[in-house]
Amino acid sequence: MTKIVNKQENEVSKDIVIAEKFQFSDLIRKEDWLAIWGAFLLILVAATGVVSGLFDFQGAKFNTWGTDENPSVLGAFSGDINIQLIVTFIAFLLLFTIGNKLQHKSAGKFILAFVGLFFLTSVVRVISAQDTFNKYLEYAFWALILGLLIANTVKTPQWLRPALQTEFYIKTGLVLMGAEVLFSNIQKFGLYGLGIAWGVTPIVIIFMWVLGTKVLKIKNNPLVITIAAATSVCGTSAAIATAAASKAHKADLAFAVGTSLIFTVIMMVGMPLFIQAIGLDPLIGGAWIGGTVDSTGAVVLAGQALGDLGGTVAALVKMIQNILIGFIAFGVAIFFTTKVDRTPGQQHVGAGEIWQRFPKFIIGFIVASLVFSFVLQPTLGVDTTGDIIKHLGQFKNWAFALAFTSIGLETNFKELGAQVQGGKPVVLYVVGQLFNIVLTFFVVWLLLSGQIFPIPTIEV
Amino acid sequence: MKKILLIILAVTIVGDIFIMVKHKGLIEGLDFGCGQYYYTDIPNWQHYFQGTHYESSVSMFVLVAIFFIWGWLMMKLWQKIG
Repeated sequence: MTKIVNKQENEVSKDIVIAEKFQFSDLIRKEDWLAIWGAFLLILVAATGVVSGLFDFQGAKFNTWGTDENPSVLGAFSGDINIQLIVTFIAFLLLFTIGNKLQHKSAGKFILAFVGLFFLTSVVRVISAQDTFNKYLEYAFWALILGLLIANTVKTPQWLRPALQTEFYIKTGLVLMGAEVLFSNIQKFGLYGLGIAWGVTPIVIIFMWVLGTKVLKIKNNPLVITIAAATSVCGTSAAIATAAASKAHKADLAFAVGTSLIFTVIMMVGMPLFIQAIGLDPLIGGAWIGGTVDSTGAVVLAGQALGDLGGTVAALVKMIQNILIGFIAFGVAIFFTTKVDRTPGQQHVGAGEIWQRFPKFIIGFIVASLVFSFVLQPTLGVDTTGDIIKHLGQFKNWAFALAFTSIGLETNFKELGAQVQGGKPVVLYVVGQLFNIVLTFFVVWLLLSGQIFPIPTIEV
Repeated sequence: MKKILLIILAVTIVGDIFIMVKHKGLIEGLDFGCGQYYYTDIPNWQHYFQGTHYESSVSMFVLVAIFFIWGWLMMKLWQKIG
């Protein structure tokens, strides 16, 4: 028996299935489980290829073009890229077609539509491989732009719609990302790293939740938590995981990612300049950057602007924040299941109902993380595990790029404009980020200034 | 309030375009920036993330215990406030 309720607390109304009894057939019929099996299959094939050395199974990454050495866009296609592109296309076509078939959807319509979507996503990835775009914005931005342009000008053709399965791509990408979350990294900067990264993050999330829901009175709860996670953890990746865990609307994710991207560019350049201007120690400055700048690439670069010590400390702190994504997504899923999405008037949500509502793909994310952290890394070694992760990285990016292109193709400007809500979500991001910056500086100073605790010895 | 917000947004977007056009914030020899969202997106990420730069005197067990205790406490706080 399926019961559907309208989610009254959210302005963006959507129906959410809240009480569907688990059946074993769900394991091969439901999107969450199919995403897990599909991602695990990719992991298995990539790991087999790396360990045996018999074949090279990795997703395509276009070469950077627009540089002095590689000025033409055609340069994006040189080397092994064409073979990798075919491998990526066939692997995803098979996985998602079988997934659709098992969900009793038309495989024929999906295949035709997927060919179109994969082509558009390839265009996105070629554009974002341009030297400047590659370094500053990358695929999420361009996927949204291209998708929105098509959807709001020539309109998204009907034949393409069967492939616009944003959630399926995101869930698959997130399980793949689980393999990259190595829990053993928690000890890389000891108590210092844990205090800076994990001490501050949940406080910022709770602060932003209260600010968003109670002070600014934003009615769209998933939007609030998605922005909060993007601000406090690590930008786009955290936004994707949290949006999926809170069952956010597609436009919520697009808004959170867009906001995070435009402010991260400023912070990447501004923070090291400010730190140098006030003469802050690179150890403190690097840790401050690691705890506050959203995107990981921006963190390493901004930290490196302070020198090798700043770059190393920034990377150490950010590495621990990268671990948090799965746990934050897990916590958000539990919170939304038990508090936000519960039936009005219901006092207590039982374990059975939590299980029924819980987004199952998070289990796949955590299992992948645990296997790579505590099984593969200790047995295969750090280098081989790193090699497997490297082979999987682009499959994850392709899954997310397919998702963002789908979001753009399904979103109209009016819908996106509705997210603005008089600018409240932007206020939430700006005030939340300022709070994050101040609190992180306070904790970094407490731990690393040498006033209270001994200054750690970092080898660079 | 709306005016301040619009000014912040306008300055940010103009700043973004200026930074990208002038290639500000980049370091020669490092082929990445904020477009690399996650650590594995960074070219040669093993160089930055797989090395040992700090020897922790605190055991992994203690760190994991602190991690989960703090996470549990914060979850309880969030549920109480939320």
